[in-house]
Amino acid sequence: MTPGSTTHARPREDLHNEQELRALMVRYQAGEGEAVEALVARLSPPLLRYLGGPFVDRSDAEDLLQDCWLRIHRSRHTYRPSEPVLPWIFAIARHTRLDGYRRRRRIQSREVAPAGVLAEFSAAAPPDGGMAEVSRLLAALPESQREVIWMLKVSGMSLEEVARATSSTVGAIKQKAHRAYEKLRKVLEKERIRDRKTNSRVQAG
Amino acid sequence: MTAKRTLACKQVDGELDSVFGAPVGSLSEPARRHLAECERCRELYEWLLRAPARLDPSPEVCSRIRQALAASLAPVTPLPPARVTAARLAALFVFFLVGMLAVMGAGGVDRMTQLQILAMSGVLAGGVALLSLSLAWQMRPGSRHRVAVEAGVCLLSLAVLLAMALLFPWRWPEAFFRQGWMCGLMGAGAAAAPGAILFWLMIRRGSPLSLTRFGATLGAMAGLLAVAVLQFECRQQEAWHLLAWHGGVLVASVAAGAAAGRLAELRRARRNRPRAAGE
Repeated sequence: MTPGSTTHARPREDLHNEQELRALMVRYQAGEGEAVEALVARLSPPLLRYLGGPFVDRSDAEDLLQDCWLRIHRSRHTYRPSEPVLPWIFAIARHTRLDGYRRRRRIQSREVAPAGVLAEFSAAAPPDGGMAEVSRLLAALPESQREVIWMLKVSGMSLEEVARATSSTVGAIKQKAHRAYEKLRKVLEKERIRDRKTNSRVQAG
Repeated sequence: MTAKRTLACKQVDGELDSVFGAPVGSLSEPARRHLAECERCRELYEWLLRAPARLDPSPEVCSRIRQALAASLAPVTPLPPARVTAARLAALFVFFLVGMLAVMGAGGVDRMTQLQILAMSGVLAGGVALLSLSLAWQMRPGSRHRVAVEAGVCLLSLAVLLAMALLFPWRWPEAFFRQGWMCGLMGAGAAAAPGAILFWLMIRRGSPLSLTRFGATLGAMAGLLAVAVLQFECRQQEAWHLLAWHGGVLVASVAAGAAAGRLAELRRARRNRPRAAGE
């Protein structure tokens, strides 16, 4: 990707256009089975990616996905056709993810010492190779900033939509994103310098 | 020279924000020049825009989800817009207040100056508007919250307590405990508790994500109703009495609402546990 280019493949494109999603939600509220099938097919991949994150294994993420869809189903009357779909969906997914994290932490705290849980959590292996880089970079951020960056990256939502999904204000989300950008710059720079040193050693050797 | 006119890294951050949510990202000419020169920003920009690999759930999971949803797929009526719900809540508040004052009398109004009546009415009206909207926003996930829930409840409680402290004389009332106890009991039992039940009946169709916050807001609304009833009914208009017994009902209602919400949240978590585990 060249820095001057003006077009990019955004995750949002996977989710199809907003009008289409709104129409499907209206049909879902009217009780149409085909709309459910279409929504599950379109929204499950980004939801699974969001719920899994870099620190949750696949089977746990799939359990969370099922729980999330049940919550969406129970709350479907709260969606209003005049409002965007993604913040509504991701707000429910965010709470499913938080509840899942708390549940996991509770179970782990019964099995091992709390300090051990934290160490284990931060050292957890990423679920697949493609996530290794993401997990390494996100691990450098505090939880609140990590959540914002993860949501922006996975869903392709705007800052305004992320603010809605997290019941926050645009100003607060912007502040978290900007702090995260600065930390990510530092981490990326460190990695670049390390890679260059390694390369020059290999060449010299 | 063009290089000297490029933006600083911090200014580029603002432009990066606009890339999210847009199907086609675009940056201004100065920002693109900056990215061409600044390796740190270019690396960040490229990393942010690199979408994580697509992850599809297994076909079994998808079919289980579809079956679970199809089993209870009945048509539903969407909630009304937030402003309609908020207006209904405010109307219920006024209706309940007028009804209570009609039964109990409005003896407190005779003891207040015009300034005190106007200022307290303004604080109460502002509080009702804020809390009604906050409850309506919380009923629907993904709503635009113009004021954070915690900030709204804290601001309202502080405004009521400050108004009581600044507008009314600091005289120690004659029967502080005997009279105060009656006020507190009446405010909590005759106004806050039935008010909370009525408000809850109106908003029970909502799906609040945080029941603790929702409970605290509902408690604040019921507490504010009690404060309004007591303010216009009670003949003891001294700051000590108002802060301790009228304001106390408000604070206790918020705490009771938050505690009830927390308990409901724990119950919900226990109920959801086996389902989430796929049992």
